Amino acid sequence: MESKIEVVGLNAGFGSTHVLKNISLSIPRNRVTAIIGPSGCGKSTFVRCLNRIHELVPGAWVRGKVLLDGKNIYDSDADPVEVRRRVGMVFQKPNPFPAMSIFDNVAYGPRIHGVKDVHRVVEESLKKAALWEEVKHRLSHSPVSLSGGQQQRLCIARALAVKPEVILFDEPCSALDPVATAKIEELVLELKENYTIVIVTHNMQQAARIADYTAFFLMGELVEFGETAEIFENPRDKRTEDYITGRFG
Amino acid sequence: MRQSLPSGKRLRGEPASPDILFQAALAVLAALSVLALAALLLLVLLRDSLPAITAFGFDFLLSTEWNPVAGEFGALPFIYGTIVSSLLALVIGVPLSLGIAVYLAEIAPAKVRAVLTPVIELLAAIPSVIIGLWGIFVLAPFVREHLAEPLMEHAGFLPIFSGPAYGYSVLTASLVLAIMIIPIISSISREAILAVPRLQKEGALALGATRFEMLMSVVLPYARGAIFGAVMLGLGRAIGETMAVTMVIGNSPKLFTSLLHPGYTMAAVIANEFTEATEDLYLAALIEIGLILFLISMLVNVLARLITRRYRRVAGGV
Repeated sequence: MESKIEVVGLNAGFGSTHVLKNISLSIPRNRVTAIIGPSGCGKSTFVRCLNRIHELVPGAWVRGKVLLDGKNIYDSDADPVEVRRRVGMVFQKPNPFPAMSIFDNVAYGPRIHGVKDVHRVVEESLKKAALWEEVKHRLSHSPVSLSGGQQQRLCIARALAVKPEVILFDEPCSALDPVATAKIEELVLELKENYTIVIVTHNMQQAARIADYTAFFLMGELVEFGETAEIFENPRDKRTEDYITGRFG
Repeated sequence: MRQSLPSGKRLRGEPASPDILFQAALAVLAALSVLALAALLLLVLLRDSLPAITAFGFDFLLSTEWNPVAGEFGALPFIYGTIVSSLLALVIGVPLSLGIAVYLAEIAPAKVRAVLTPVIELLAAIPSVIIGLWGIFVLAPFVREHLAEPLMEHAGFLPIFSGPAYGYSVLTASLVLAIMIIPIISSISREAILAVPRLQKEGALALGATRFEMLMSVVLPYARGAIFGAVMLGLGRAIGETMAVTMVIGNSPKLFTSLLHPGYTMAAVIANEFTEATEDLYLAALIEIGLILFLISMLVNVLARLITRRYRRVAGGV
């Protein structure tokens, strides 16, 4: 399987706290890769290292390599703004910009990147995020009026509008009800046709439902990585087995 | 057994404790006394300005004649002077304040921030008469010699920059006012910017926004309600500021066109002429100006509160 992102010897943390310990992992192109593990195992920090968002927190540090199409995003000549344009992100809690309309939220990325045909991009992105039918008559409204699930799909549309190659989902359903969660999962499965997807989840059923590959993190280490079916049915490591059978976490 | 709850909260249906009754009574009394004080102030202003109100009626607001010796009293030059100098102070002070706020909240290294933040807030502690003195000895000559000259030369075709240039002018007064409102606007705005959730900032950056784009298009709009409130507080301060303005505005009751010319404000005329106002009508006219000043200040504050609250509700949804 061809890999889109190759992580080599990644270490990261905050100040004297060492969160990620020597992670090496390759994320396959046009597949869904799930990152699972108990709270505090570093799975969020891991994906935040993939688009250089981690380093924005005061005191944060990163060592090691993250190769995006073979090019290290932490090279001194790599531009973090460009990296973030290519690697989009959807956060734990929906975070639409409340001061902008629904339309302007989606148009934000295309506009700052100087895209000409913003209207078409917005419509396309909202359609891909399965939100178009629900909002097409109120594009000028504030996103505050949308439900949590709709807000999260708006954030997905906003990320898609930038035309990224990779989309990182950081526990995108943790603030959503089961119906909204099902919609987001369906969407993730559709999106993998065209995007490489990494999804952090603490919900193992979710990983089993949508991920092609699964990585199990524990206390900042990558314990096991492989095809989802392998990880869930035939884990090689005792700790993985304990976690997925619910013995801890 | 009834369990005591932390932080004084009580369960629904539980009888109000004497403590809460006491608190409520205090709150009501405090609120009433403030309201009563404001109402009393308004009444006194109304009563004492009654001779002027009956003598001039609505014309008082529209007349530009201010000639106490001849018994002519018109408030327009003062109202005009107050509004123009205050708005100009905002035009000068708001961009600077926002720049300071963004710098201190988002850009400055921790050490610079720790030094600069209290220094700027200390500016607010300088007595206005001191700022006025500085205005007289430093700013007014500077405006006359270094600012007015190029303005007349390059923008003199605009009526607002026509000569001749005086040091004691509306522009000087507005510069002084701008300096006086920068601490309040910048410190409230800084707090508003700091209160923008990290998730909003990361959301913008994750879309490939630069830091500057994030600040301008996401952070400032998110904080706009509080920033607007800060600007209105600054405006309120500028409208009511007396001493420093009186010392540098030139105190000439005319409807000026050029900002390089002297003007007059409501607060300044009251302060300057109160002791000279020996006739009843003169005194009443000054007090009526005070009444107008009071009402305008109230209006600005009420508007500020209403708009701030509306924005806060919108932002609260996300």
